[in-house]
Amino acid sequence: MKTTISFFAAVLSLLLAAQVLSAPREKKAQKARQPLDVSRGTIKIIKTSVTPDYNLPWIMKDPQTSVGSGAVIKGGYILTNAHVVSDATYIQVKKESDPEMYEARIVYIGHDCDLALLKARDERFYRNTVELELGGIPELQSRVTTFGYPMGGSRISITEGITSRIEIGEYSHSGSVSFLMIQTDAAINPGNSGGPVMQNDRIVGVAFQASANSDNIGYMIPAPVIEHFLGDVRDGRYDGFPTLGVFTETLDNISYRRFLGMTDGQSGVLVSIVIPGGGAESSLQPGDVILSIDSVPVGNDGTIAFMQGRIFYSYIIDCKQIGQEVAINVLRKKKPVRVTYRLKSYPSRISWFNEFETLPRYCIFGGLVFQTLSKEYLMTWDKWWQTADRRLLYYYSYYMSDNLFPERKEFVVLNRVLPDESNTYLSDVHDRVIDTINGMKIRSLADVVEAFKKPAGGFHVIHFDGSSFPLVLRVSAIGEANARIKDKYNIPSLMRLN
Amino acid sequence: MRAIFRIMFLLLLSALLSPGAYASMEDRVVNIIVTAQKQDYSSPWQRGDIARSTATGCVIAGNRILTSSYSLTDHVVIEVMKNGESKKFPAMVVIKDYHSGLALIKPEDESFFNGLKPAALAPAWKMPGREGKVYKWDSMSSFKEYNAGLTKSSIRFYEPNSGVLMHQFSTSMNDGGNGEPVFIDGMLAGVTTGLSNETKTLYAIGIEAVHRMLKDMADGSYDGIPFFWVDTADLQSDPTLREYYGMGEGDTGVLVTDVPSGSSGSEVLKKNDIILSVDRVSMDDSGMYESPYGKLYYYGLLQINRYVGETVSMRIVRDRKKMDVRFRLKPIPRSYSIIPLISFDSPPAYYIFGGIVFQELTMGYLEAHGSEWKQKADKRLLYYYDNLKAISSSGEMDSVVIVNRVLPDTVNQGYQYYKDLVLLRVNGVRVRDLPHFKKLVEGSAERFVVLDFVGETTIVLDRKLAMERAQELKQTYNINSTEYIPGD
Repeated sequence: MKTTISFFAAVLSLLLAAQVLSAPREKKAQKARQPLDVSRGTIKIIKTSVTPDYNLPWIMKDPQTSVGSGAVIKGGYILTNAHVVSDATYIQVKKESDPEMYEARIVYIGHDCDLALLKARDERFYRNTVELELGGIPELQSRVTTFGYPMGGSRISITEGITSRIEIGEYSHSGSVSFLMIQTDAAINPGNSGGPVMQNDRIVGVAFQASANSDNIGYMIPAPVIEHFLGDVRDGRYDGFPTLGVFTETLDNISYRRFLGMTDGQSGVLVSIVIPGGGAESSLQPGDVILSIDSVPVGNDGTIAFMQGRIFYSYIIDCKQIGQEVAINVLRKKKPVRVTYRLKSYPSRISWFNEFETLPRYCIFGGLVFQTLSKEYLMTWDKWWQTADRRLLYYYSYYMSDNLFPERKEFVVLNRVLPDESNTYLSDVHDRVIDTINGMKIRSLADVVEAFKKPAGGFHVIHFDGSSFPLVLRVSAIGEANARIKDKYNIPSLMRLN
Repeated sequence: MRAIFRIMFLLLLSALLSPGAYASMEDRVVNIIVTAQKQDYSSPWQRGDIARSTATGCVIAGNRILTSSYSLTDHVVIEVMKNGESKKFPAMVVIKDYHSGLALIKPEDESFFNGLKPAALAPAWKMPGREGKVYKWDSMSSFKEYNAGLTKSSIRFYEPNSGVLMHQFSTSMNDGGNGEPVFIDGMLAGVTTGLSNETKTLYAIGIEAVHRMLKDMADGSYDGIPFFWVDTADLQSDPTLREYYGMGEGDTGVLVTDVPSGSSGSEVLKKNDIILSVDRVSMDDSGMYESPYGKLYYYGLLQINRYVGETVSMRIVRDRKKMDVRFRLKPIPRSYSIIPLISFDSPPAYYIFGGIVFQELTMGYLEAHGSEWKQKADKRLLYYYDNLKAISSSGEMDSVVIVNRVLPDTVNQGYQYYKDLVLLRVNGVRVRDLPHFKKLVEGSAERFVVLDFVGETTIVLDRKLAMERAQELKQTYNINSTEYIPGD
């Protein structure tokens, strides 16, 4: 897996980079029209954000300030990265030519594709700006120019680079999602995030992340992904990217293809898992071979023809919106079948993605803090992939492929026990997945609240996955304990279910 | 030169100062040289590193040498030396018991014992004192004595839940814990099996385990420590839990949380039983009972000087009622766990088909990920390890057959990055273990071998093609055999 870092500068670096030169602009080959002043469309963005603490889900972490870049586009929108403005409490935008800072607000934000549209609250901001237009996919080896405010400097930075690779790669802001991205060797740095990458006076990308383990490799979000985002919000709401609704395996092995009854002229990928609720349930089956998507033939390695080369088939789906139809030719039990269905968004029972502008849901009962299992929850561990609770990591990694507890809408975890006289013998219990409470199977956080209403024999009894050792609370002690714990630990509310 | 003289002088001096102790112990303590070869779990067709190490043994009655079994792990050659002489006597293993931590070895040439004397064993449950002496041979010819003060006695566990009475001594020893005898008042009181250099703590198996082993083998067959694989949890004096389970005033005990099939007592104990006492010896809410060595965990009542075939009675609380249950102590079965917990020096079983290396998941395989294996191994395999008892007794599987790696070849194109996959079925038949897998593959009449793995991954191989490629794969990857299946 590729490790990536966002080019996102903490405000600290402002101090380090007082002297960022605005490179004198090279005179390009004679052109008919006046050269466009891209700097008039490049914006510096300063945000303050707060994020919740999934370990103590009722509190927020300290506010952070950071800097990014953006571009003014049609309609007075400022196009930038989602991560430049995510979880923002306050956003300011600044033009190079104007000493004033202007307040801005998020109009649309797409965390999967790491894009956002802002607007300045004050119309005066737009004086003397130019609206930059969107271009296409740059040719490999062609020159592109990145505009932005790297290292937090107050003057614009312009760097040139070569388009070195066009591929599908992971967008690290959300994580676990991959879309088309373009790699350049332009020296782009933290703070460049959200800045326009230009070619022939048009935006061909939005600079957004760098490779953590190699120098001078930067990535930009290319025009097709930007267009998808702009097309999505046209109805006034961002819905995100659809899923094909299945997981597939490549069919590089000829014996496997023979076994499936594929001829030498046929190629495709095998459906291994149909995602419950993912849109394809009544159309595709495990064991189907996907031969083509919207009549584009799929190779045995899962690629389709793209520009001069090939690219993973997910690109076809990434160009579509949720609700659109897809037509798929499959080989099912050795017979060709054509299916069509409407694309849906990816449904999660355990979120594999980073979350933003979302507060953790929880409920506290007798000092027992219940939450749901998600990547954000696991990331409360340092080096979480190695050190987090092993059962939680197994559920996180394999709940879909191993079809774990299909009846659970989400996985409820006892995060910790806030010590109190009513639970003093339980205070070491933590990070256990709830199986039942008072005999009721727990399938969601809301079930926890319901189940605690129905104790039997004067006891609340909680059972966890993987152990028959119950956790037992005395019903008579709980009412007082709740009030005492709320007060003692200064918890504003004992639950947040939505 | 001067330094050497000084050392020699000191040696001479110390020999003169305590002639009694030295003279009496040198002929009871022998030096053991172990040549061991590690198993290679990642390339199971070959063997790993060869290393020589030294351990210490103590002569006991019947011309046998007592030492720690873990000092002899994966041995290829064992040699013994005595009295600082350079002659090496090849020795053979009489018993190497990884459940008790003890081993008995015997030189092939009985003349080795000329001039040696058996040590007197301290009686069971009567520690002759708290100040001990530990002995070993250093660099062949110099005999060393260290003081060892008894600090604590407790039950510690070898797999599978084999409770052993372990004494901890504080010591100035820097290098040890490899079978050195601990003498107290001239009697053998323990066999060391570990040394923590940080805390300067020497761990020694109590003499009770030695008595148990000698008595166990006296009839010519060695049954080993009784098998008790039941899991319990402490009630921790929690009044709510005690009331919930209907425990009376003054009743104390531990809660049964898992009863794997095959364990002694599995036919009478149930989940949620509370064990109050074992053979009328009661325990507290932490499972501890009073013993001559202070408080010990109740496994001591089932495993220290207990023998297979004996009957145990337990007083329990079940469904809020007190009752007595009785059961016979069973031996540790050959297989009881889906992941074998001890390798018993045997090399990993494997079966290569179509360049895909299939193996059984073992502790050795997990531990081959390094000391941080609990962080680095595949999360699904770790889940099996963490839920070993529950999965083992569910009967879902006998062992976990996994893909260790794929040796790239035309026949397995497209599968070459597969690793740590858990095999479920071959052509629709549930795979029990590696021998069963081999039978299914080789006995199949189908053109294709369809391998279904946990997590909805499938591999299809052309059976004939995969067989044909075996010879060339062996040559390319320098593999002497495409399989090792013990007992096959």
